[in-house]
Amino acid sequence: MIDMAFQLISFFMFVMNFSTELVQEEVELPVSQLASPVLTSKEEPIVLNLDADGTVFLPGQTINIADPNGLARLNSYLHQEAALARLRLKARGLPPDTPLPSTVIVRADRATPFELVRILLRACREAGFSNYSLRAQTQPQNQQGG
Amino acid sequence: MRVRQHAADETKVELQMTPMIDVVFQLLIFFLFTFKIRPIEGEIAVSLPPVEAGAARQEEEITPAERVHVRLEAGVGGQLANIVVEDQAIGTDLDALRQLLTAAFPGGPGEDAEVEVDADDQLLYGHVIRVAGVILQSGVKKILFTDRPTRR
Repeated sequence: MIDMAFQLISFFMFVMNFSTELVQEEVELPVSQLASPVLTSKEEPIVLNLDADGTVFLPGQTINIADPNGLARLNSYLHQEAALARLRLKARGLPPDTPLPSTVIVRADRATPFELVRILLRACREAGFSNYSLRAQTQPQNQQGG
Repeated sequence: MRVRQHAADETKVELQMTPMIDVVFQLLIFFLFTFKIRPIEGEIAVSLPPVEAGAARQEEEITPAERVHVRLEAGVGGQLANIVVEDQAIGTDLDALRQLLTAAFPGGPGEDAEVEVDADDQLLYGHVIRVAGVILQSGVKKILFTDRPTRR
């Protein structure tokens, strides 16, 4: 019996993933088996979770980009992140106009009207980000409500 | 008070199993509660150039020769109603889209082959991702999204 318990513990210990990936469970990603697998973690990720109503879940705050105030807050958050990325570039001795190596990870709900995604992408582009990773589920799995 | 003899009689230490089992169960319950089954995420990598704030829609000075323009039209409820590839409407047949894209690039899509996706505002994101998946499947590696000046 105790050996069984040890087996279970070993299983969970190997399967545990302690990385906090800022995954918002309410966002149901679109299903696409043709999406490329994410093999390596991005070096400077910025995770944006967007649900179908236009709510962007950021670490520490929730913003609705369908209204202009929300959009302004999103812009200020993105500009802050871009400024941090530029400081990191400066610390590495690179010129300030180097393209930012940060990747914006966009986790948008499958029922989001594309206009909201376009607004989000535009805000990121205005902040200076050029690399984007649009996430999708590879298996059509129903996610439990978070 | 009787003085006990050291060492000779009292060397046997008994292992208390019950607390050990309790700790094992604690660990097990901890891992059970913190175990989360998350679906594996795939990604569609897109590279979009940064723009200046307030700039009008960027007009490309040079449209790369290897760029195909695909327009996605939305129908009722944000469903995909029509796909238009460079002025050729093909309905919602994704296989036809894939074949058209492979054929659109002479000699097959190369490394610089690009598809520009212009999706309607109401089109649901899930459909855009499906189409993007088909575009990747046809061999094109670069996808861009058209910007529309729909700032509220």
